[in-house]
Amino acid sequence: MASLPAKSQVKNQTLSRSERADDIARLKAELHLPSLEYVDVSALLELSRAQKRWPLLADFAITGKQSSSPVAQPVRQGKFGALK
Amino acid sequence: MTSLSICGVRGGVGTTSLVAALGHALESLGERVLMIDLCPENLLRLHFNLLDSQDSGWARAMLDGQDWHKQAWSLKPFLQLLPYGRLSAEETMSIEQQLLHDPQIWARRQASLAAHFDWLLFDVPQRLPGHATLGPCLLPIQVAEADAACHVLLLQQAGNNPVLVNRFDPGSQLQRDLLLIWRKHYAARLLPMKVHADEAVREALAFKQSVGQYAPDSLAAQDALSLATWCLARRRELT
Repeated sequence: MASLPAKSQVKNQTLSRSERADDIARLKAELHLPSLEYVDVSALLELSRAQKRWPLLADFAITGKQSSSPVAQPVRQGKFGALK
Repeated sequence: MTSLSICGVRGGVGTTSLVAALGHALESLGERVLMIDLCPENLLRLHFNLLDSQDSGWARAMLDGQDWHKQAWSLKPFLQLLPYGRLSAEETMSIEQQLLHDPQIWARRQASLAAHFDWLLFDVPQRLPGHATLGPCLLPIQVAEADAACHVLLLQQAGNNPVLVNRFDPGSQLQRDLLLIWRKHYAARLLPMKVHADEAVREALAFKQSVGQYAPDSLAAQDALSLATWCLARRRELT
């Protein structure tokens, strides 16, 4: 049976399941940049929509660190230098 | 020997069918399994065509002064079932009092079974704390349906036990939304697989079988097999 190299398996155990399935989390781990500020805006928006879609879920919203979207305003155009 | 319990976040989420499906799946992977029905409804036996055993069981034996361990039924060489037995409501409360008075009862029983089984699977009832008091349990799984009631109850209960989503319907917007929220919030608590809604589970009981026996190719039977494989992997990690 094919198996991952031992080194990679040990590393994977230190990541949570969601991190293993998360390319960005893997990249942070590989590059040793745990503090890299990367916000998956689409995922957060999807989460925010899911909570707002159902009134009871909005009442019983989970107040985790990232449960609300940080994007209260539309993303500024030109932030990444696309517009001059 | 590893103990695993399955208890609903609320009633009616399908724990008994899951115990039957998981017992069948673990046995099919070569494990020695004893399923123990802790629920006074005494329904687990019906998944294995044990109509004759409606009276006997561990709780009945406790009341009648008989040996609890002689009440188990051998279903396959490596698959056994210990029913609850038929009790009146008053008798069940008497057992509840005994279990509350001596909370180590199941810990001692688990120890005495250790040499004979790889897995003890407990079907745990709602709102009977004495009945739900077990000895060491490596995998105390809580079962939820992806609905608003389970969402509120999970928030209120604030435990740390693994959560398994049962009867998942990927076509439901609400269920997809809840799973998204739960995955974010509960992260590692949420089991990596879910058991899909599948009519085969209901049909299996009507045929007096577990879903793995009745419809081995059904989605729910495959999910139960995934769950069994996950259990084996967790046992390796945790022990």
